[in-house]
Amino acid sequence: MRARALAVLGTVALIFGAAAPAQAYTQEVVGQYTEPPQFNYIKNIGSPLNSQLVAYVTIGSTEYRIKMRAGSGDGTKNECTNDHGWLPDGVYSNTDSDSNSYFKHWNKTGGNQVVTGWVWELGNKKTRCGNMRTELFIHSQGTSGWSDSNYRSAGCIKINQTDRTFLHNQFARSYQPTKGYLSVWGSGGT
Amino acid sequence: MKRLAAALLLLALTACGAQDDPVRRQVLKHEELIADCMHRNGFEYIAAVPVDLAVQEARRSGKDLDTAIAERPEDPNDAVLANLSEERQNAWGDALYGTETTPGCYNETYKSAWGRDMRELSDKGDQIVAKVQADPNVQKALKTYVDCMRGNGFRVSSPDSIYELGEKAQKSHDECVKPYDTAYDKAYLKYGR
Repeated sequence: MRARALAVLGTVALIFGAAAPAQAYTQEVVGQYTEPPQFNYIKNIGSPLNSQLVAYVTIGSTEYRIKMRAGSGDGTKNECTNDHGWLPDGVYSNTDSDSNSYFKHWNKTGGNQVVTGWVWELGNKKTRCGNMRTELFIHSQGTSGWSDSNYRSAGCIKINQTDRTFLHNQFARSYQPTKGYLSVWGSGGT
Repeated sequence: MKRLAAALLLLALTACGAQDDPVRRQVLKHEELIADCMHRNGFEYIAAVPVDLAVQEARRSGKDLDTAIAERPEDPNDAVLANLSEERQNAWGDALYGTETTPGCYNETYKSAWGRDMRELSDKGDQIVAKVQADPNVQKALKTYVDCMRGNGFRVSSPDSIYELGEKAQKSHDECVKPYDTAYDKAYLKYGR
């Protein structure tokens, strides 16, 4: 993955070119920090398909805040519902005590066509109802083709392809990408 | 009236702490420009400190992640969205984030808020990764990794794409990759400064 950081030179043309698909991300400089990537998925309680994925990624010694629109599930606000509900709250990490969930970034070429291309594989997560949600990913709509209704998914987190490319590139340039994590919570406060 | 309420809310949220932080100031400036843009497009949007930023600030002040999340503020735009029909919610999202054919208010206002183009920010990362990969200690650690994986029956040339090779390969990878990761991280800190 790190080796491919240099190979993806078409990003700028993709983002700013006339034929670019949807772009929803912004990137801001947060400050001088050196930390593994932290992804936050903030579920919009009032409108699930207007939820946000916000990644804090250190490149060099500068931390960036990358924010994009991201759907989860098909609009169903029940984390217990397999294949429809949005992602269960919690942390998805390679280094915490929950061995069911993880955070692996790779270029998936097989299986469900929609879940191909660069993905962040999240594993499984036990819901607050006690059932296990399985095969969870951050992904886009395969490798090509996008319409804004594509923010719906069968229970994963879904971002558009332009944003996925940008996030992949920044992730590949980042400090300690394999020690990164995703944290999922609702936007409604306590 | 709604604009006044939004301004008061912004003031209150700004006053909650860390108001002198330059990133928070810049983000709030961006939020206000986004709100103006959304209003011009016929949508309500309340400028506020983003929830993730509040969580990040709490973490940096010493709170653990769970506490920072538990104490997060509400996003006032949730209430705005909750009162709209699903069709209108989608239109609100399209106005904010953009569509395939039109930029959204986030991106339209980005350069005014931050004073630069996003393209300028990405080049340095490629230079760092190139230097790290060429570092003699990283090269040596890569050879050690490849030999270790081959010893376990997996012919690979780098840790890239290991997840495509299945669970057994991943277990071997986890065993073999630690010295490489250590060398890579050390070199990254060296060239990343």
